[in-house]
Amino acid sequence: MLRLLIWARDFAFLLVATMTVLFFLVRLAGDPAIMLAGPDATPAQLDAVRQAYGFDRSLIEQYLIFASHMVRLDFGTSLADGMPALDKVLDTYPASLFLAVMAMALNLAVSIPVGAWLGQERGGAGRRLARGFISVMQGFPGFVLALLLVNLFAVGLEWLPSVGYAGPASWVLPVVSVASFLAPKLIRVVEANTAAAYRSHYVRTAVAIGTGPRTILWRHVMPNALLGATAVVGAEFAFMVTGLVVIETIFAWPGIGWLLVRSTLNLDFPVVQAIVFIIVIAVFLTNLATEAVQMRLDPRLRGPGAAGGANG
Amino acid sequence: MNGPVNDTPILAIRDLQIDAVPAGGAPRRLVDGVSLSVAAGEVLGIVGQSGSGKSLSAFAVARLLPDGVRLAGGSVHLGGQRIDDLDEGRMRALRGGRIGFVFQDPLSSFNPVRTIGSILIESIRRHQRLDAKSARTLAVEMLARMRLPGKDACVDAYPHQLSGGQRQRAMIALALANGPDLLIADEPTTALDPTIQLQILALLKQQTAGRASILITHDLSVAAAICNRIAVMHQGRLVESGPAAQVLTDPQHDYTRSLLRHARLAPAATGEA
Repeated sequence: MLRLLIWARDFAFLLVATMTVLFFLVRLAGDPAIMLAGPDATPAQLDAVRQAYGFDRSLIEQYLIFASHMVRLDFGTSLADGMPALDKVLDTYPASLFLAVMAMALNLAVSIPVGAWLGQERGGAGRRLARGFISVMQGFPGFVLALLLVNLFAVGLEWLPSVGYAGPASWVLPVVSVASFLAPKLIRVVEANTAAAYRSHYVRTAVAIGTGPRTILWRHVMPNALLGATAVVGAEFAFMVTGLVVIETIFAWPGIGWLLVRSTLNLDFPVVQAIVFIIVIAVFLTNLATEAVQMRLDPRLRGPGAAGGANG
Repeated sequence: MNGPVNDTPILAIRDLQIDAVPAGGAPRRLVDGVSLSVAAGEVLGIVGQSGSGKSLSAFAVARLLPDGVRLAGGSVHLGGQRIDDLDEGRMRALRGGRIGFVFQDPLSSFNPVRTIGSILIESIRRHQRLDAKSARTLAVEMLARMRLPGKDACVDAYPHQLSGGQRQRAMIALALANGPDLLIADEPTTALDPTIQLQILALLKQQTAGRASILITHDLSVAAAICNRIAVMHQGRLVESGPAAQVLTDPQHDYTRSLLRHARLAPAATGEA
């Protein structure tokens, strides 16, 4: 219960602080009235627009109005098309979350077995080759990799569509691009944790009771190695729920990252504010979920419990 | 002059050689020419400072050696049967079965995300044909015999929920779960508080009856508390061995004498406990 209150307090503070800073930042970015009225508008027309949207009031006044509306989840309407800002965000977010979940699933499916395999032994030509490849991958910026994949599979071989969000074939390149960006880091962490577990005293105990290599891997090493990897998985997922701006732009993926770019360029700040509001909530929930998974996996985080009696 | 109980030793190590084999480097000898034997009912103390090869020599019995360390020569017999050349599968059947181990640090030696009972049950089911329920019953029985508290004797406790002494009791239960002929305890009291050390030593002494036991320690007073015979190792070699009383009262080697001066537990506490 106390824990829940602390979470709620942290969450409220984070949300208010972020939204406040954001409010003043976007007002520094430019004059939305010019965007709305068009470049040829007369000063009188601009004034009319400012009055209509309330831009003529003082910043503090505007902030208080914004804040009182935000409490009711009202972010106003998009300056671009008049649609409710929050609706626009909620319409596009599923595409982003879909990309994030698919990319994470692929990332886990590749990184855990590969990391576990690499962590089992140091030597061997296969492992050395894999490690070299992962190092190279790790040095690649995500967008370069995405462009290379597009060039090869969409432009060159013409196997897959390069843009859009229409059916499984169009998902392949974006999902693979994001997963290849995430995987090297996770592989490294799983490898390091697997190797550490193999060197641990509890694995020596398992050997000393006659446990075979397969049980040692699955029942002794991996539970500990994955426990160490959950923080990275959580961080990677939190990074993705903030919107994969570059990837969504390259693939014209109709997600929140793509919407964020367009809205920012158009000074469509109701939409920008709604996006950030949703992102803050998503990141917070991701961290909460990560913590819950860690508690589930690690009995030490669940508190001392009541198993022991007197010392001795 | 050797064992008080039986002429055929349970364990016989002859001319043991252990090498460190670094990747791409020349092998380095860590243990050289160690011969030891332990009879049923006998507790052999192997004493020496860290790096003396005492733990390696004992662990080599079940080929429980770290990466990059290997048996380079000599022979190991258990109950008259040669075991150092067994394949891995047969050796695995001995580990935890006929040979039980107690390690120094019971916290790091228990898997942090597994319950004490699950490890015990894993060992019991590996070596005895028991269903899950009977294995659990036996696990509770073993833990209760080592005086772990509670109705279920902490069988469902995670290692961090127990005290240091309780964890070491659980470790001893694990070592004895399948009724081993040979018990090897590596610094079993070093990580514990002094008062708990004496309790654990008393428990070990009680549990060594009828089997062959090896107690590895850097502390002669710990060996004095429960060992019939003491072997002193220094820089990979055996420098002195004999009945405990003789080694303790009339040490022949300078190194043994210096160990005696540094014995930790007070003599009053270490007499025949």
